[in-house]
Amino acid sequence: MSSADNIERSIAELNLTTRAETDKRILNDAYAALGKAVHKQQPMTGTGIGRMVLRSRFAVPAAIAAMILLAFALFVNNQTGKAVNIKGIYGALSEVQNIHISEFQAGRTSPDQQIWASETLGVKLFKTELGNQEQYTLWDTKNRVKMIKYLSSNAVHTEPITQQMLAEFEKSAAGSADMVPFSDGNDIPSDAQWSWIDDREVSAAVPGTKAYDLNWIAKSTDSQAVVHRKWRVFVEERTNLPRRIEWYAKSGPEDEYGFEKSVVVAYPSEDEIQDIIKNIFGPRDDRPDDPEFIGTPGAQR
Amino acid sequence: MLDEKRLIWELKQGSNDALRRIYMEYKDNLLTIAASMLHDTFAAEDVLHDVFVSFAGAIGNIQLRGSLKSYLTASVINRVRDMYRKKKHHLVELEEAGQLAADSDGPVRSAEFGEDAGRLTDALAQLPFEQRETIVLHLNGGMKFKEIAKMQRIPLSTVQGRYRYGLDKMRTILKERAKK
Repeated sequence: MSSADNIERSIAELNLTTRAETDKRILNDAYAALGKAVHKQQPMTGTGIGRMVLRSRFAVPAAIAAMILLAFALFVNNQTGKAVNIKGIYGALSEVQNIHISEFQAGRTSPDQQIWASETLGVKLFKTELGNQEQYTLWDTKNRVKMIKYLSSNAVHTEPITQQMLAEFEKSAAGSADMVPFSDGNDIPSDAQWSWIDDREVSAAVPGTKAYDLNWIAKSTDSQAVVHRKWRVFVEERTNLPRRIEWYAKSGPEDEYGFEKSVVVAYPSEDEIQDIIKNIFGPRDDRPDDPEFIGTPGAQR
Repeated sequence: MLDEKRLIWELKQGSNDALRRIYMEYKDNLLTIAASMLHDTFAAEDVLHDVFVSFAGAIGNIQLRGSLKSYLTASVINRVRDMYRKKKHHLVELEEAGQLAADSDGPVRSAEFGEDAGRLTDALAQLPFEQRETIVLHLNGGMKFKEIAKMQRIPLSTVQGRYRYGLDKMRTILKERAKK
């Protein structure tokens, strides 16, 4: 080989492989760190839906005090009507019983993930795309059953939910909806700017709402690099509930914000969620209860 | 190809299997990047260790805006920069590296890279840090110049210049060594 002649190709072909003992050491330490991280996640309060969308700690007195102070600092006195503040949004979301969330990555017209959740029904339904395969995953925590329907084959996989699965699911579901900019409201930087967008064209994008921006500068945990972030929320004034959320980011203060993704939020009734589940998995009576059942809903068994 | 969103979701549930799959997918490439930058395989393994332990430990706060590979590559580069700044390891500057590379096989385990590749990494070690970083990120990390510019917060033309000058210098180093 002539290194000087094919230098780019030669560098690109450089390849080291980790040693088995290195893999073992790294994975063991990483597993331990993961275990601590998952264990360390604070217990949530409020409704299950509230936990899912907020991951906040409103029940902790110190947290409440901090949030009130923060909300006060971020409050915008809207001269044209009732103003919405961050606290109001977090509070409203923590009381939600039924919700439907659709996430759209930039440039996508169809959602990458949809979640229906009902606290009263004890169900969470996810529609996700795994590779080229779309699937619905239903966590029916009241009946302790998890069902997966693969759209490509129409097959349904059912398994019982164990206590451990349920505990893990509750933890993970807390972060499954990318709705609020900070998992804990206390983490909102004190210099973040909360402002009402005084532009009817913007608000008109979601009728019946007012649009607000939260701007802040995020610093990477691994570097000194900063990212300017913007969280735009279209809020119903009457309920303080978000109907649409948009995420933006830019590298420098002079740059233009780049759109990253949006989240469309609806608040269906219990009946509507039940109908959706029924349409996907069939009526409750027809659903398989046997663990590890794989088949087609409604098919003769 | 990994379904990164799903894996992150599983990881947030505490899935060791998801962590293992992510590690197995990216470990060799990340190790190669770190070793090429540091010219020290043992230090590169330490970087890999720190990156994955930190990644697992911070999983609750991680919200990916780009690909997982980009995130992990950036984490590796940031730790390499920290090591470079602190000079805690056998990382050497241009002049020192030249001496080191000429006098020894260097701390990179040449048996693992191979003889020719060892010469390449020796030559890489003699480049200024910024040129080396650009070359490694582009050729080993598979990053586009535009992505590197964004990560380093410098103009695209600067990235392209560093890449070109770095390669030219490496060619010169390798040719001179071949004459000896």
